[in-house]
Formats: sequence, C-alpha cells, structure tokens
Amino acid sequence: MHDPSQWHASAFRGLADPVVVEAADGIILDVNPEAERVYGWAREELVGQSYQVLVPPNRHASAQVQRAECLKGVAIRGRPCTRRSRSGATYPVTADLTLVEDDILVVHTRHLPQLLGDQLDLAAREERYRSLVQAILDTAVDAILTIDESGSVESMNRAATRLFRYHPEEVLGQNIKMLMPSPDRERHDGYLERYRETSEPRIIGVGREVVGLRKDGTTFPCHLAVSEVHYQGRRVFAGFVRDVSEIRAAQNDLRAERDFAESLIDAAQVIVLLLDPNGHVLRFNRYLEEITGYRKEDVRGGNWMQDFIPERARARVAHVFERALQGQSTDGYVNDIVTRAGDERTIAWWNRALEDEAGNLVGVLAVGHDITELRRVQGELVQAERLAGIGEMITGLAHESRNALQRIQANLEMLELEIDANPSAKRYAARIQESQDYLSHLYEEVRGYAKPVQLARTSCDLRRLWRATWAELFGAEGMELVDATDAVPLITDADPFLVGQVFRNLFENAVAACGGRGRVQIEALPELEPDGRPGVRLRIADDGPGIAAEIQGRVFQPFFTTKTKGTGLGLAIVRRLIEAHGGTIVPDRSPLGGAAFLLQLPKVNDA
Amino acid sequence: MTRARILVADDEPELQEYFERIVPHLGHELVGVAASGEELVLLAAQLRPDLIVTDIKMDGIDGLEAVARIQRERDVSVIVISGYADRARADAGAAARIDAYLLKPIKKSDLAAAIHSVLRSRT
Repeated sequence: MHDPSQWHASAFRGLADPVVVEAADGIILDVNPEAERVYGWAREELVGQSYQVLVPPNRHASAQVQRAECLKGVAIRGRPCTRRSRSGATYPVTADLTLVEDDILVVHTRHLPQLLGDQLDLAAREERYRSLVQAILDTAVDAILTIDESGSVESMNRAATRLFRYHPEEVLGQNIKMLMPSPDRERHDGYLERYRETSEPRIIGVGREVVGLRKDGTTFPCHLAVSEVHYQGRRVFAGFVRDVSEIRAAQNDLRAERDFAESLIDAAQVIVLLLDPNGHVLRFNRYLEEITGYRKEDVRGGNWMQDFIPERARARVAHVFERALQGQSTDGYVNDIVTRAGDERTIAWWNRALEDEAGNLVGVLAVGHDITELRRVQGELVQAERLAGIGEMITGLAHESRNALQRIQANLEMLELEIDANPSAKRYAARIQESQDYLSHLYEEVRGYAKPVQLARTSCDLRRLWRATWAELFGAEGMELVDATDAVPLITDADPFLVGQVFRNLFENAVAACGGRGRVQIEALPELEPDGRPGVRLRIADDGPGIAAEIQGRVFQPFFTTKTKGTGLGLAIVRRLIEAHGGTIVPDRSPLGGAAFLLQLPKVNDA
Repeated sequence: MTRARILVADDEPELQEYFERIVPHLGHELVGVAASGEELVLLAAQLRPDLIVTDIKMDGIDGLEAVARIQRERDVSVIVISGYADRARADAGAAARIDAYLLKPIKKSDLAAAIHSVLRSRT
C-alpha cells in the first residue's frame, strides 16, 4: 500500500532544488541528486563531512548563526545566502531551514539563476546597508548633515533636526548657510568656492568651534568637523556638529569661579603666598605687593628666604617651612619680613602644605597677617599702662608726703622760735625752709600733672582771665603786658580756674625768660579751625631769648626745663589742660623775637 | 586783734606739740589738744572753744564726723587741716560746716591768716 517513507524518499530524490540533511553538529547526513549536481560532489563524498564544505569561508559565521536559530526552533524561510561548489564557484541562493526530530536540519536551497541572483543579492545588500547606515546616523549623538558641492543640504539625521529645530523638509535642498548666523552665513558660499578652486582645506579634517543658528533665531556654540566624501562619482561634504553650549557654560562657570577666587585673593587684606617645595615664590597677592613694595612680576620664581627673610631669622624660618612641607602645624608662627624699602614688617602666618590631584607636593600655601601695627599698639598700651601706674604711684606719694612735709614744717617753725637770737642758725633754718618750699611746690606740680583733669566748664572771658592772672602775679613789676587783640570778644566754654593756670604758667615762663624785665604780648588770630568748629586762637609771645630750635620739640615733655629753678612740668601741665579742653598748643614764631606759643581753644566745648 | 579760744585735734604728737607752741605764739589761747575724734567731741563740750582746728584722718571717728556731732549741740567755727587735696572728696557725706580748709603742709602764716579771716567773718 502506501508507505509514507517510500514517497518521502522519492520526493527527496526527485526535488528540483538541492536539499541537504545535516546533523545538529553540522555533519552532512544526506543530500539529494540535485545537490550532487549543483555542488559537483558525489553523495558518498559529502556524507560525513561538515556542511561548511558547501559554504564560502567568509559566510561560515552567518551560516552558523542561521543554523543556531533554527536549532532553537525558529523556522527560516527564503533567507538570502551563498553556497559554493566543489570548483569554488559561489551561488546566491535562498534557503529554508527546517528542524526535524529536534536534532536534524533539512536545508532546502533554491538555486537562483546567476543574473537574477546577482541583482537580488545586491538589492538586498544595499537595502540592508542603507537601513544600517540610517540606523547608525539616526542614533548618532552628533548632528550629521551632508551637502553637495554647492552647499545644498542632501541629508540630515535626527540629531540635526533636534539640534537646529527644523523639520528635514525645511532644510533638505536648501543652502546649509541657513543654519549659520552672520558673518559665516554670508561667507559660506565663498568658503566652498575657494575650496573648489584651491583644494586647500580650512576646516576639513580639522574641526573647529563655530556658532550655529536655530530655527527660532537663537544661536549656540558648537564644534564642527567636516569630512569630504567621494560617492558615486560625486563629491559631498559631511558635517558633524556637536553642541558645546553646556561644555562652554561649564567652562564659563569654572572661569567665573576661578576669577572670583582670584579677585578674592587679591582684594583680601591678608597675605596670600604660595611657595614651591624649594621655597620659590609661585604666587604673591596684591596685599603682599602693598606691604613689601614689590610687584609679583619682580618676585615670581625668586627665593623667598633669600629675598624677604632677614638673615638673622633665615635658619629658623627655613625650619618652619620644612615642618609646614611635612604637613606639621605651624599656625600662628610669627616672623619679620624685609620690604623693598628696607623696613621690616611683622607677620603672623597660617601655613598649609598643598598637593595636586595626583598627591604630589606642590608647595606651601602661607596666609599671613601683618601684625606690625598691632605689636606697636600693644607696646604703646603696655607703656600707657605703665605710665598710668606711675601716675597713680606719684599721686599716692604726693599725698603721703604731705604729712611728712607738714612735720618738717612744724618742727622747722618750732626750731626757729628756739633760735631767735642766733643769726647764723636762723640763716640755716631759712635755707631749710627754702628747700622745704621747693619740695612742697614740686610735689604739688607733680600731683597736678598726674591727676586726671576734671573740667568745671562755664562761659569764660579769656581777656578778663589773663588780666586777673597777670595782675595777681606781676601787678607792679618791671613787666609789661600788651593786649594786641583789638578788643574782639574772646569768650569760650572752659574751666576758668584751669585756663587761668595755663596763663599763669605761660606768664611765669615768659617773665623768667626775660629776667623780670620785658614784654609779653597777646594777639588774637583769625579763627581757623581745621575741623570747621569755631575756636579762639591766641598767640602769646615774649621778647626774651626765645626757644632754641633744637629743643622746641621737647618743651612740652614732663621734667624738661631750662630753668635753674623749675620742675619742668609747667608746659607739660599747660598742654595737658589745653588738650583736656579739646584745644592745642604749639611753639610759634614770636613777633617780638623771643618765645611764642600758639594756643587754640574751641569756643563751644564738646570734648 | 581778737584773742580766740582755740581747741585743736590731731593724732600726731609732733603736730600736737606744734599747735601748743604756735597758737599762743600767734596771740590766741589754746584751750585744749585732742588726739582723736572722740576726744575732740568730749573736749568741745567741756571747753566750749571759739574755734576748732582739726585734722580729718584720725583714729576712731574722723575730724569731720566729730565736728558734725559738736555742731549738732552748738555752733562753732572750724578750720580743717588735711592731706586730702580734693576738698570735695573730703567733704563728701560730712554734715560739718567748715569755715576754712587748709591743705598740708601749712605754715604758721597760713594758720594765722585763716584764723583771722574766720574770726572776722564771725563778728
């Protein structure tokens, strides 16, 4: 009857297409007569060999992929592929791969006529290639456009449409210059023309940063690389455009950050100094320029220790520098530096060892504070405290001395009563009394100078004050007081008792200098207060010998005196009292040829 | 010139002796010498002087306090002799009425002038 295997075998043998039966491992199990005919092998020669004998070597890989697919159960139909004959000739075929009994492949190829096969193969390959290229282009990150030699856009990928925000149909066939702002827009045709004529590339193969123009008129920085493509006998240009606005923005941010840091370093009222590990200057900020008088150009690369550290301190500073390099704390270290003018400044330092990203030692960053003034003020403060202490001591001493002076005075007076009949003893007692008077006076002066000035201000007529003082002191003696103030009102807000003491001390000095015979003149000068406050200016001059130029600066110092009898406190007290009133007193040129003082007092005292 | 009856107070023996010698020398009568504030109050009540010359700083109550107590009973002229340069400080808080204030060291001429001026203003 009908045996299916019989007619299956007949069909297999009678089929007009080559059929090859392969095992899962690729060993040929059987071939039909058409296969023998097409491939030029006898059945018994093929059976037992690998199927690869029928495939050109360059197609082994793809053939293996097909077999693997099929072995996984995927039926393959009409797949274009290539076979080769015993002579080495290759044939385009379409193949059907069918899996039977889980591990046997039946490969049925339709052998195409040569010409048709060539065309189909080419068309298929071209199609595949085109779709591959398009896929690559469309997934590319860069915008890619091609233009012909005249600049007309022939293609653009998706990234290009995204970047320029045009639909392809708006751009294709248009001149590429529509995607550029001025001045490239006007010049681009010229660029192409020049290249056509000279073949000298300007951008091709180089790439540069240009500006792109979007449909909405906005521009953006981009990197453009152009390649020249020879294609089907034509020359086209492919442009690869990458938006760099984010990179540029990031760079700008970075630059702004750096500029900010730079300006901070330059504006800071601290020293910023960077030294390399050998102690050479790498950075030197503006404040350090101001302090040292050097410009950074002068000192960059110079040796810090050699150029700025006084020799006496060099070894010590070098040691500190080494410690800072090793990362040890040297904060608060103080040393002197020498300026261009040769002065020294005292700097307190905060040091940090600096490393680059790779961990290499770059040097030491030293931030310094100029504490020269601070040190000086501290010194003055200590001095002022010391003086205040001395002042208190003197006040205390002057007070305590009163009782001792009183005992001396009492005993001296009692002694005088006892020796009334003894002239030479009385003379000695008189000398003791003289010294006693002088000592009392000295203590009084010292106490007056040392105690705080407390002003009891009231409206004072200066003219009446000095007249009263003069009359009290020298009413009928050989001295003349000349009032050259033209009767201008001289009213100030002051302590009359203390201003009276000022006149008394000045008059006493003048009279002493003139030897008791001479003239003292008082002039009122035009008011000329530098700070705009109304004031009184008086010049008090005498016709004595005057003050020698070399001692003019010292006459207000306590205990400075040229008199044989004097405490040297008179003018010091005068200045103290005047300054307590917010005024000034300085030595001046005397119209009478002797000494003169210029005295200024504010009219309204808000000191 | 009026001869005044004067009571003196000072805690220093040297000055007590001084007043004993000088006050009569100046033509006045020294009715007593006190060495403390308390003694001054007692003697003033007993002796009823025309004028008191006193130091401020003494043991016990000071001269100003003693004078204030005396003046509560009876008005009397007072000359203060003190080492305190700052009269305001010396007077602070004291209820005493002071006729003259002399700063140490004084001479007999200072004392004479002060006594004269105080007595004259009293009459």
